[in-house]
Amino acid sequence: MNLADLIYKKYKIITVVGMSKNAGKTVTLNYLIEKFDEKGVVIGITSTGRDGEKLDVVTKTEKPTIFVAENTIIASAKETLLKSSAKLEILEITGSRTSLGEVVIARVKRGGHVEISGAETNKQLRQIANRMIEYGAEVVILDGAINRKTAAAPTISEATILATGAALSRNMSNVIEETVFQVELYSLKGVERKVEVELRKVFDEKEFIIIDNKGTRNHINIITTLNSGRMIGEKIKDCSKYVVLSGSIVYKTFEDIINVSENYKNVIYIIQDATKIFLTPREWKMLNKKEITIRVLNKINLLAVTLNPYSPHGYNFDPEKFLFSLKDRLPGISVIDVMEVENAEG
Amino acid sequence: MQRGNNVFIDSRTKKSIGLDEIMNSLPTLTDYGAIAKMNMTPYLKEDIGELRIALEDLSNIVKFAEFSKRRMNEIKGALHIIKDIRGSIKRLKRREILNEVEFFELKSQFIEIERLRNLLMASKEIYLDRFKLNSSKLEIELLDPEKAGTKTFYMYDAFSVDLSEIRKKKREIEKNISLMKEKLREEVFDLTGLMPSKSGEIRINTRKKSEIAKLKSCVKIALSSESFSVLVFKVKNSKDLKVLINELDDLEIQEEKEEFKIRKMLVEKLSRNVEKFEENIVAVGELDLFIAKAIYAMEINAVKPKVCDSISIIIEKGRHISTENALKSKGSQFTPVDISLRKGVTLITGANMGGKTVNLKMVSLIVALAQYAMFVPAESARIGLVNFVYLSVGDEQSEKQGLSTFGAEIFNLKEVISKSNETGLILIDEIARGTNPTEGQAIAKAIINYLKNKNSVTIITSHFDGLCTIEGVKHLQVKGLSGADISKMKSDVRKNEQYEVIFEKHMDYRLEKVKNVVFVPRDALLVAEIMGLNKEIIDSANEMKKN
Repeated sequence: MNLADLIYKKYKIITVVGMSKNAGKTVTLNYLIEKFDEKGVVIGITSTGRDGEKLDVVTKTEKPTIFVAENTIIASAKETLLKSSAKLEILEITGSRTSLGEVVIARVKRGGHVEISGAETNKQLRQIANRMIEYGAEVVILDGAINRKTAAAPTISEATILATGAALSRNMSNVIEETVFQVELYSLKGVERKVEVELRKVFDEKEFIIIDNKGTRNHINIITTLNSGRMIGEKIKDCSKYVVLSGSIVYKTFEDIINVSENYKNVIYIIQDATKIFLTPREWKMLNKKEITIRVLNKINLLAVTLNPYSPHGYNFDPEKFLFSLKDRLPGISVIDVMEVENAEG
Repeated sequence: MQRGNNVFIDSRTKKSIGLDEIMNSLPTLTDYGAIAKMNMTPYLKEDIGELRIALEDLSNIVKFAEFSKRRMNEIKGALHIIKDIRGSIKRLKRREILNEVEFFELKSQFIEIERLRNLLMASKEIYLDRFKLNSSKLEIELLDPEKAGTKTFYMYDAFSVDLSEIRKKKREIEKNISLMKEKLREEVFDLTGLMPSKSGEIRINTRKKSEIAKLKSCVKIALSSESFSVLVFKVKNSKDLKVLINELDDLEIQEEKEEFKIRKMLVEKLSRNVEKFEENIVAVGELDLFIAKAIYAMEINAVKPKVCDSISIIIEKGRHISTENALKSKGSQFTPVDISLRKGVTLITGANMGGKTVNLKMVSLIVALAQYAMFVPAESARIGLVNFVYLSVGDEQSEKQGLSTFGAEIFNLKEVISKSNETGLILIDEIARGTNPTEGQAIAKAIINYLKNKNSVTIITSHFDGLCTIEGVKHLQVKGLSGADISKMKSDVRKNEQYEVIFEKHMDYRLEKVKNVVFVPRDALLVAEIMGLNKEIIDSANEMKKN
């Protein structure tokens, strides 16, 4: 069973997120493209930013370009689209503007290399993904990124694949720690069904509230959690049950809450989704030790972790050791070495 | 034809009377309509013929929107999808070689406008001259050589025999290359027991010494990179394969050349008719704007104004839209007002809070709307066209900072006085209010005397007594609070109801013509009392008034 089998007929929109630049996301994409092509599945591809560039602008290393097969539907900004070597039938100009021109949806008439640079907001990404499905894509792959505006792409897709690799750090155990941490974030539990609708409104209004065990809502008058930990902490009472925090959270917020509130560990902190957490793996561990419970409104469905043991900086990890160590740390999650699979023996 | 100029009504007045708000509310559906809206110019006195046609055309669209809802919705739907492609049209005009996305834009717009044209041809009653669209059938055929009938665009094989030949050859070679590569991979597998990946690579752990020895001895592969734990081998291309790849590269260059030739040919052919496309863009914008005007007219219950040559304005049950909306949101309603004005000066006097200022705004708004070829919020209106609208209501900010209320009023009056014989609508609220009553009254009197024989319609409101007796001036008075239940009003104020709602209920806003009246109505103290000003002050003021 390969990655494509895990997706096909179960999920229509999936996101591939890279732990860092060169972490192996493009390799994962190419791997998926090839697998779907073998199965004869028509896919749609778009991204949350500029990707598939020949030269990575940061590290100046050569990145594998995305090779798309006939019939693939792609959505990319006009300027990048026109550079592709694939022959394209222009289907629609979407009206989503980016710095590289409007996002255009096209069907590949003859295979070739393409650059994909998609829409810049989640709302537009979702609309474009749906249009691609209407044009016949059976699976839409969103090429996502962790540190961009559209970091929440995993929350608009039905399943997420996390790509990690040697490029992240020279030290393999660091890569493993960071990856395990990211997986933990992506695996945060969702909220109870019955409060979901109500909470969605709170996040839409960008509010901060505390809900007690009788369901009464207590408004916290702040506009961000940054430097507001004390104010939040002071409002946590014996009867408080949920602390709902819009926007991002940082470690200092919790430090301040813990400083002023005895009840800090008796409540559940609810955030919009895992991409709103800005913590280091160490800080995350500390919060766990202090028995802080965090839940998310929008759960991310992590389908698999792919790894690339080769770094473009010229070093690599022992592929087998890397794979086994990661598998060992992530029980219950599919961990796949995309470079290894590519070289199927026999 | 370029009509009007920027002095018909200045931007400050546009904002003050709520004309800006109305323009912004016009629900255009396309960028072309929005541009037409931005470029709207008023019809002046000399343009009366054109204005009559424009209003008649608008009237036809209103009727159509009322009675043919389904067809109107179809037309709106067809408009809605039309995008602004002026950029591509401009490049076409300059005969720049367009890219696929630009050809797509042109093709889809041709198809969309053709569809709109078909809809309009089936709705003769609104397919008026100003909306006539040129057919783009030939252009659509040109950009759809395979007759697929879709909006999409591709450098179709059918564009030229050469292109389809080149592509056919390319496909054959590509097929051969992939067969050959497949064969090479299998050969490597036979020799080494390891199958290279599709990209022709074998990655192997440095621990696997015996496999590495085998791979190193295989002549069909070469070591391409190595690190402490992994070696990467690559399948070598055979001579035949190299030849094929070279041929493919050549074909790709040929294909690009051919595609360029085709794009150039398309630009050549399309650019011949670029004026036709530009005319279509203008017509689409006009249609969109007229439909927006019609929909808005229906929304605010507006009527077609009669426009004429004489210097006079007659409005029956006129309403001021933004005031009406504000009252509606407070659960109250606007009292429509009749007003009849002729050449010369009309003086309006009457109670404070009696709607004098709103009436001035209402008159100027209705005249301006009529001259922008829009329907007007009234039961009927007969508008003698003017060449400018001037309104002074005391809410103006002087462009020259540092001027007082009086200074600003005089600064603006200077100009309007100088062109008062050029047929304008001149509205001055509480003339000379910013200075002492003795001199203020004298200045007001002199201005009225100056304006009463000019070729303009002037309305002046005032609380000065001395203006009522000037000869040759029509005098209108707000009926005011004469029939109102004052004690009820006071108790409503105590119940914390909003002032505008209370006055709206009790004030008689109607204007009546009066003659031989020497004094203006004395309502200021009463209004102050109703609004709950300190009793001691009211009593003391009443005492002084008696003396």
